[in-house]
Amino acid sequence: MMHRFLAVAILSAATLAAQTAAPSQARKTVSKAASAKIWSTPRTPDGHPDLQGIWSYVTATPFEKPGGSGAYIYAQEDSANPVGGYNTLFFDTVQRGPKDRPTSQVVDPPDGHLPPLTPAAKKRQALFAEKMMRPATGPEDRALYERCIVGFNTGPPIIPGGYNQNLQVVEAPGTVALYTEMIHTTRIVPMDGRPHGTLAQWNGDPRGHWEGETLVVDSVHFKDQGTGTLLLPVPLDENLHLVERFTLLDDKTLLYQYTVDDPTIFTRPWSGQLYMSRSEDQIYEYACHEGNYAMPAILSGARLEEKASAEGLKK
Amino acid sequence: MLLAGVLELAGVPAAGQAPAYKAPRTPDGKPNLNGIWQALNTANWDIQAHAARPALMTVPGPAGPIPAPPVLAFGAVGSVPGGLGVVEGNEIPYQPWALAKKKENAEHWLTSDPEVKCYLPGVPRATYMAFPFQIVQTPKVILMSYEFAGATRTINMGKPTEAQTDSWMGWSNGRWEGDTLMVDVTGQNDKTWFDRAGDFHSEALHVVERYTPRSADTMMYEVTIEDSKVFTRPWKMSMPLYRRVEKNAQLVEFNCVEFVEELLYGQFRKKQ
Repeated sequence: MMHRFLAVAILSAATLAAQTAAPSQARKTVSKAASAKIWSTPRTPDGHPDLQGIWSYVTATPFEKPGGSGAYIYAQEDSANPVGGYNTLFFDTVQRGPKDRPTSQVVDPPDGHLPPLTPAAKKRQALFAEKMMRPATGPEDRALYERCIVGFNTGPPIIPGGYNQNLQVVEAPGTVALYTEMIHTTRIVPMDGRPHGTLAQWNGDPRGHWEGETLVVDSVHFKDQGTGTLLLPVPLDENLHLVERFTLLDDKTLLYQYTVDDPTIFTRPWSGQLYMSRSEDQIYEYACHEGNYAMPAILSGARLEEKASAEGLKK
Repeated sequence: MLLAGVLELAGVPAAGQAPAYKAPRTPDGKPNLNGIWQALNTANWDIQAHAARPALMTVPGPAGPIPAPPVLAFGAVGSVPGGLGVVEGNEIPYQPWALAKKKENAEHWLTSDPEVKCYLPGVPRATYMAFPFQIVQTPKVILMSYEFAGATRTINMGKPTEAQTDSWMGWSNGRWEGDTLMVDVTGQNDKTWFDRAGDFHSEALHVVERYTPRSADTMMYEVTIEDSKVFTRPWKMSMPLYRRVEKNAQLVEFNCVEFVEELLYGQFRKKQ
C-alpha cells in the first residue's frame, strides 16, 4: 500500500517539477518529451490550476483497511442485498468507481485504521448511539443528515457513501466554490489571504491558497454537533481543524487528500485520500428538507409505538 | 435642445442621461459580476406597491386590522414595511381564478408561505430576499450561492441544456448579450412564491433574468415572468442590486432547516 502512495507522490512531484518552468516552457517540455508522458494541468483564465468540473467520488476503496488480509471489501452493500428501506436502485454501484487504488481511504495512520478515540469522544459516541437507538423523542435524537441539516457524505471532509456523491468545483479570481450535490451546499473558499473569521458554521470557516498545482483549503470554526460524516464512528466537533488538498492528476482524476485534527475526538490527527473521477453528468437538486417525509413519520411512529406499549401494559 | 445637442457632441451627456457604464472585465473578457450582492427593497414582503401595515396576518380590530394572535408578540418587528413595488406597471396580470388564489394565499400566509418552512425560494425570489448572495463567475458556469437556506444554482454558460425534472431552484442556462448576463430559467416546480403577499405561479413558469452592471457597486436586475397557466400575459419586475462592499464581506450560513424543526415537528415530540 505504501509504495502506491509513494508512486502518487512521485507523479505529483514530477508534475510540479514540469510546472516550475514558465508555462510556455512547460508546454514545450511536454511536446518535446512526449515519450516521458508528462501531463500539465490546464489553467484558468487568471492563470491558476484548473480543477473545475463535476467530480464523482464514488469509490470501491473501503474507508478503513479491512482486517489484516489486505483483501478488498466493497464500501456499500452489493446489489443483491437491499439496505434498510432503500431500493437498491438508490445506491451507487461499485462498478462506476475508479480502479486500482489503495486498500483504504485512511492513509495515515499507515495501517489504514482510524486512531483511537479520546475518552470524551467515547462518551459522545455512546450518547449519540443511545439517542439513535431509542424511539426518537424529538428530531434532535436523529442524525444531522436525517434532519436534512447536512448531507451524509459531504462532511467536510468528504467520505463517500450511498448516493449523490458529486462535487462541482468552480474557480473565479480570488474565490473557489466547492458545490456538493447532497443538500446543495456551497463552500465558498476565499483565496485572497484574508484571515479566518470568528463564527462557527456547519461547513466551517474555509480559507484557501495554492501550493504549486494543489488547492489547499484550511478550515476551522465548525459547529459542535459535527459535520456530514456518516462513516466516522462519532461526529467531529468544534475543535476540528481540517486541511484539504485537491490536485488534478490527469484530465479524469482529481486527487482529494485531507487531514483531520480534532484533539477532543481523536488521540492524534489522521489523514485520508480518495480519487474523484470526472463526471459527464450534471449536479441535480437534492431538496432534502423540502421532501423530508421521513422525519414526521419517524417521530409519529415513535409516539404510536409508545402509545401501543402503554396500552399493552394496561391490559 | 440645441445646447443639449452641443453638449452631446462634446462628449458630455445631456441632462438626465447617464453614460452607459462599462464594467471591469474578467480575465476572459466578460463583465465581472463576481462578488456579494443584495437587494435593498421590500420586494420579498410584497412585489407590488404597498403601504406599511400592522402584520402579514391580521384580524379585525376596533378601528382597523390588528396583528393576528400568532404574530402579535412580534410587535413592530413583525410589521410590514411599505414599498414602492418592483413590478413594472404595478399590475400582476392574474387570470381571474389565480387572483382569487393569490388572495387565499395571503390570508393563509403563515401556514402556506414556503419561506416560513425554510423551503428553497426559487427564482426570482432568491434574488431579492433580505439576504445576500454570491456570484462566482467563470466562462463555462456561473454559480450563485444564496445565503438563505444555502440555496445554490449553477448557470450553464455553454450550449443550453434541458431540465431533466422539476426542482425548487429550476434549471438555468445563460449567455451574454453585450454587457448583460441573460439567464433563462425553466423547470421550477409550483411550490415557491414570489413574495410574502401570496403571489404564486405554476410549474409552467418561465423566468428570464437580465443582470446589467450599472456602476462599480450596483447592477440592474430585470426579470420577465411568463406562466400561461396563471397569468394572461408576461410581466416584468426590475430593481437595483447593491454590492456588499465591507472589507472581507462573506456570506454567513443561514441554515434555517434546524430553526424550523420545532415548528414542523414539535407536535410529534415526546411529551415530557
